[in-house]
Amino acid sequence: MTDKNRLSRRDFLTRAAKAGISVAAFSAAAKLLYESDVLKMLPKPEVITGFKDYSVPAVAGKTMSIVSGANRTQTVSKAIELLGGIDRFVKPGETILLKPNIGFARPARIGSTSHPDIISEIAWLCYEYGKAKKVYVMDNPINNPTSCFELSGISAAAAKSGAEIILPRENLFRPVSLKDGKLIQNWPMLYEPLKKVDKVIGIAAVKNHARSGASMTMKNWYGLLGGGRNNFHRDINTIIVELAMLVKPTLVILDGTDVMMTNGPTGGSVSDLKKTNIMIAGCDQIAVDAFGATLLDMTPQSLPYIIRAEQLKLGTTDYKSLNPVFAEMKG
Amino acid sequence: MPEKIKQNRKQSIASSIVVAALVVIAVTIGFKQNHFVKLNTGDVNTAAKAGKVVFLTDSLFGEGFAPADSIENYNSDNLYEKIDGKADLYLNNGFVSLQTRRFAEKSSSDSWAEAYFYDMGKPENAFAVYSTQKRSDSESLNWTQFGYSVSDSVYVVFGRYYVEIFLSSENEKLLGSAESAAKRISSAVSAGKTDMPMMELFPKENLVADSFKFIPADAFGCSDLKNIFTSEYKIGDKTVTIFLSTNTPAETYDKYYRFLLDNGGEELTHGLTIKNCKAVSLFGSIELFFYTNNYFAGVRGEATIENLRPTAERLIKNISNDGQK
Repeated sequence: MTDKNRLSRRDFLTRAAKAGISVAAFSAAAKLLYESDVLKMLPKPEVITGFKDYSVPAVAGKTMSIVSGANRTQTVSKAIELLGGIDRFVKPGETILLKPNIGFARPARIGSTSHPDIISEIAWLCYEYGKAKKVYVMDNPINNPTSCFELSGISAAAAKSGAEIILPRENLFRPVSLKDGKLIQNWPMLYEPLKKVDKVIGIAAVKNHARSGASMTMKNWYGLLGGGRNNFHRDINTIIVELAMLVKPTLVILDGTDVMMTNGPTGGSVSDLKKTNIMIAGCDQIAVDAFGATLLDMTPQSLPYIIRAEQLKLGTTDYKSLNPVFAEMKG
Repeated sequence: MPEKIKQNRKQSIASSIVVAALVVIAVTIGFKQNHFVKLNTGDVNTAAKAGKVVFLTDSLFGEGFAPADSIENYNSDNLYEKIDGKADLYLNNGFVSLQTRRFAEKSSSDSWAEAYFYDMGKPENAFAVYSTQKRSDSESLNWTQFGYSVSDSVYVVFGRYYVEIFLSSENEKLLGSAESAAKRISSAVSAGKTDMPMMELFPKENLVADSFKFIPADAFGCSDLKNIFTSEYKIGDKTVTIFLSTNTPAETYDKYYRFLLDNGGEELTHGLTIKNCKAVSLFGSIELFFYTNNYFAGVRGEATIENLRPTAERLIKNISNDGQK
């Protein structure tokens, strides 16, 4: 290096000072910007404190219908007809959300998911006679959502009837707190689609359930929960009741064509099923489940969540008091 | 241009690049922190790699099949994500891990089978979950100690492992492929015979084939009855149940007696000479039970004491012989 290029002491000190100031400035800025608790950095989403009331005005003698028959398309159609027809529940131009139970990536024939024939029939009724603007089908399955919709046959059923599938994308969840709720407090739920639709129809199958005793229409709302919802299994009766407090559906359908008597809720084989050939429709989910319990050779009194729901006046376990309409479908 | 100015410019450029890099790093950190995404515990491929040895290999179902999905691994933290409410049964019986994989026929992707490979830690645990879920219309698999099939699934215990294979449809050819796959797993596992010495104590006479069960807790509705083996027997036109457990605390005998009486049972005379023996009638069923040689055992069913007594005596004899070994 030549003398010309050699750094003078003054230059060296000046540059060293500048470098030091730069490092100090960056360190100070980093310190100011650093947040040790990264959760604090998340935007605070609005907490939803309740869902819309999707129910329709009661009509005496048309709260519950029970139809026997093996053909689900026929029995579900008849069950709705007996309650006054789909146009009682769906008005022209409305958007409808169907909420089946699609918890598992398994074929519908083993009864662990709602049956695609029911989905396609109700969607068709909504469009054809209800003149619905749009029908959606949504669930937050336990297994991989895409596989669940595909393997259960519900994707194909929706496509066939013009309904649109809503997969549980993260941006559809919102924290929900239930007034007087013990478990549903600031908990993520599939709220965004619910906010936008006019009516909600729950569609469940009658299943034995290792934890709750039975999985029917009330338990079906479990599929609206996000997060680590297995935590609620420890207090499953409470969470089912809270979900029933939260969701006031337009209509519920309970499929008892093939009832999963054992090894629920997943089942795995037709050996777990008993053919009972019953389809139930109703506006009172507690009454519908109370009747559904009998298909599992249980009494409503043996299911604590049904009893608690009745105590909270969410419905009645005395389904006979509703004078259910019965019908039998041949063939 | 003087050399010094040239050098200063080079240094300025270099400094600017360094400062720009630092700014980019700072902006990136800020952006990442503001777009933090909480770990999705539902992602089985990243959250759980519980299984260490892979038995669900690509070729498990043979030539005509190919894997339809990658292997899914589950541990005790996320088992519910696969089997939901049924997870408790496994978790309460020593569950270690689960691997699952779906295989589809190459000629038709609609024809598939899904294999579940549970590591239950011990043969008794595997047998417990197997026997608890056993389907009543099953057909035993004659090539293995504990296994059966129904029209659309296969279930087998291989030592500490419990395997289930579910089919997309009731199809005999597919069922045959599933059974072959189970045999391949059997060879790979090399578990050998599952040792269940308790079963040898059950009398052979009138035994209903394949009726063995293991009840880990709350047997017969009594919270004090745990780790009970049961099997069914035909006595005339009646089916009765023998139950047996070992290393059961002696007070279980009294607790069960009180449980029966508290639920409306009435004590009967039994005519057996064995000490610590009771007979209780409850809702048309008779319970004849005893505690001997560290075994708590009995016979229960809708039969008379006279009908139950010979079966109980055979059981007592087997237990006594076992005690003399």
